[in-house]
Amino acid sequence: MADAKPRSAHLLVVDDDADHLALIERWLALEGFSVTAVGSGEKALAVLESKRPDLVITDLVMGGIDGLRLLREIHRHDPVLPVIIVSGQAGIPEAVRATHLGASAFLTKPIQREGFIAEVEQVLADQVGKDAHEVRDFAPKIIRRSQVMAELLDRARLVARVDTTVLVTGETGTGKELLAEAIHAASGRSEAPFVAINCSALPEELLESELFGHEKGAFTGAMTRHEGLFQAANGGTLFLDEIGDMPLSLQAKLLRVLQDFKVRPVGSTKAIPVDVRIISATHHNLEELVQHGDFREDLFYRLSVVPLHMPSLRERREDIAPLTTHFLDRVAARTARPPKRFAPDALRQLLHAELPGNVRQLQNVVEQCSVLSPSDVISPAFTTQALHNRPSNIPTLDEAKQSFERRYLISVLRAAEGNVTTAARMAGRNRTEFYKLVGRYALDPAQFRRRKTSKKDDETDEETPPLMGQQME
Amino acid sequence: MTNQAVIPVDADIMDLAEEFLRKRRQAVPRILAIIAANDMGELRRIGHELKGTAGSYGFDELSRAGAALEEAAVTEDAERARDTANRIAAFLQQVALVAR
Repeated sequence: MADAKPRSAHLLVVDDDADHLALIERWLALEGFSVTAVGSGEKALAVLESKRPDLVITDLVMGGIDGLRLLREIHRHDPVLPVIIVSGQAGIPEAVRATHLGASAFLTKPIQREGFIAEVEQVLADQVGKDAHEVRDFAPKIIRRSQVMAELLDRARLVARVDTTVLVTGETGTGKELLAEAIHAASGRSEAPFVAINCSALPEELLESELFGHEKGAFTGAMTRHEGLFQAANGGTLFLDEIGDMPLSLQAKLLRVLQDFKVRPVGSTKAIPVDVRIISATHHNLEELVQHGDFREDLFYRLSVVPLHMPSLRERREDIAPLTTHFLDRVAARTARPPKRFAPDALRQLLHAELPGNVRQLQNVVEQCSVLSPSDVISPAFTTQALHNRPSNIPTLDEAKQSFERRYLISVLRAAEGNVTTAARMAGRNRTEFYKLVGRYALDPAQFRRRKTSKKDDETDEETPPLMGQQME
Repeated sequence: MTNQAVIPVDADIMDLAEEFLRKRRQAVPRILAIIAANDMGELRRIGHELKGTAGSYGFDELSRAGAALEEAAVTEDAERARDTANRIAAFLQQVALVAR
């Protein structure tokens, strides 16, 4: 049995109880491990400065820097260094918190020699064994060739295994959600749901009930009980996109959930335990928001246990070519036709374009060119146009849909000459629904009625679009 | 607690186990002093530590006594704490280790 031991592994053991420390040190040394034993979290950090162990085993309750803080400090610098926490307390909250902070295992004193050694070997084996085949399989949806992406994905792949909270930062359109999905898929939670929500897309009250759920009758319009995304994601991963836009009051509620992993639905007195890994993302600089008082500092530290930064497309230009090919192939697959390709000059334009909207903008440009170009080889005329038509702000899908819907309603109303019944029929909606839609965009059907004397009014009504969101009653 | 406590210990940790017991014997007067001073916080810490560490060494009775000490501290039961400390002292006098 001794042959199978990873004898080269170096272990750091931390415990302020000298007798327990001596025992563990001896057990491990007898197994052939090289062991450094220290009596405090402070000394452990000092050791870590000079040498990286393969595994840290730490007591939970210690004076000064305790086990959880040590775990956090370690993972701040080295998110994939495995840490086993040993506690005198068998409390579930400590164990849950330790796991969410990325502890590889949580053991309760007294510990049994055989079980302990088996646990250590298991954690070390997990570390070594998974590497090889995972490198290729991780994040297949993220197209990359650049070194900067290779490094990021390496880090993300290792982080995936540790059940820790992750914050993904990066500009709009860089693919933060794709990275979150990849981390979920490579984690021990992959069989459970990945649930994503955009925190900036919903008003505060709705966001709260979406996240935490609500009881029937909790507020006007709460006709039925609603489960909430924390519960929907139970056992899996909850992706909180645009976390920087979450209102402060909700930040406080989210923090509470992250502290004890229980959710309290709106209007309920019962707290429901949830087991969810949180991955959040933002295009904001959260540290700046913290400084300005727009984001809670305590929440920031909870969320950013492991920060991952998605580089902008400008920082990974070598990925533009493979991404372009990928998007062309996708259009081809969708239209069941052979893929088009860019003329060398057109491709050169793409490679040097500003692309402030990052991968999402590149995708839009490529798709637009591919669809519009009559020839299989896309000429620079199309790229020039597509790139210049794209100012720095790419609308979100919701904005684009709304803008389309509004323009569509205007054209239908115009064709029906302001007759709602006719317009509704043309749009395939009943009158009530159509009225609602028209109301949502503050359009007045009467404006579209054709009056012989004021023909021109009809042509110009688009000049004064009423503001969206101003609802007509 | 039994009169004769002969406890098997892994031969390769025998020296550590003996050292551990020696230190516990030395600590008995201090535990009694802490109880006399009614310092339940410190007593709780000592009981808790004894429960875990003695248990890991394989001294189950001592581990249980540690748990009892911790409980006595939490319930502020000085009499139970004294009884437990005396049982610990008696155990430490009787205990003998055999290598396995």
